[in-house]
Amino acid sequence: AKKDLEQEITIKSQRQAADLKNKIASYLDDVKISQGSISITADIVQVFSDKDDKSAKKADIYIAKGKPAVFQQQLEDGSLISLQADEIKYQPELNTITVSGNALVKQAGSEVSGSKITYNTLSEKLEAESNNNETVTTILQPNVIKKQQAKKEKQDKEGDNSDKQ
Amino acid sequence: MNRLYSLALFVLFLSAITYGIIEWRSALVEQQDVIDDELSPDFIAETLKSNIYTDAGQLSHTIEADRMEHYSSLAVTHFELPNYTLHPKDNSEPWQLSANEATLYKDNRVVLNHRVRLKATDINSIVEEIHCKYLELDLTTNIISSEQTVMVLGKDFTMYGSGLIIDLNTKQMTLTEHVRTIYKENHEQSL
Repeated sequence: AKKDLEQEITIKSQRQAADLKNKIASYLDDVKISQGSISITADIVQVFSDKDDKSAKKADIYIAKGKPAVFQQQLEDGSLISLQADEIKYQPELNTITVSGNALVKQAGSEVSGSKITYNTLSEKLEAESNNNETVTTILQPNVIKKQQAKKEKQDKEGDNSDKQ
Repeated sequence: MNRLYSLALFVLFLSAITYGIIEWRSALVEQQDVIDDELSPDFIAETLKSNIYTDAGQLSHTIEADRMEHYSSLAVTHFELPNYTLHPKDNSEPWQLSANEATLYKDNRVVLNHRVRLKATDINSIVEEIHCKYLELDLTTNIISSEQTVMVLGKDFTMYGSGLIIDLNTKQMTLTEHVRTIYKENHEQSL
């Protein structure tokens, strides 16, 4: 949810190693990142601290690797979304999560898999893409389909009243 | 017969006791002198500032201290409020290392105690300061280590752990026991 993004990011792990020259901090052995309701569990997490050239604001990149690495967040409507893959890239300043390598998204029973999935933690929008020969498969559970239809009808109704005013 | 016998025994016993007492008292006195020798330093320096160079003539480190005492018999030098400036081999920005007290041993190993602060002078370094109570520095290899808990202050994070090993030359740092690292949110970004 939105309030997650203003929270501090905490990383717990057994070991830590930092390469001060290249500004990379690595966290090793059952690593857990948490930021509000966002949590990422992985075997290794590397944090690349660098600056956004234009705005000169910090633009850290968190790369989590695991078998699989799992990202979880509680959405505005309270439901849980989880993304798992071999690699999860989290850029807090851009609010984007990019998962690649057997990427799989689970939300309210429905699943989306592909080779690369990007997810915006602010807008809660999901984009799945696949290499040329693989397909993006989306399995929607019945209740999700019903919810989407209900949402569509609601939008049509709002569309009608706004025409009438 | 046995009266003579018991008298002899008594005399023997008496002499044993007096011998024991004399021996015990002399042992005590001797120890006293040995301790006195060690405590007095061979020479003392106040508000010391010295530069130490490598064989190749490169500035290895400078040490400033309120007071320095050198004990040549033990090859130990004790510093009060020392402040080291350590120059990595690749001539990159130096690091400042200070503490309440430090002891330099003959194998160029320094042990620092109480309010130990390691500070990076390079403003772009992701690690800015390391705070701990106890730290060992090897002046020849520029490797700093501490078994005790340390707090690492970075530009946007604070790290807690122990088992620190940091090599100023290769710029590699590890914490064999990492507890937690907190990355502060970039406030201007979220305004």
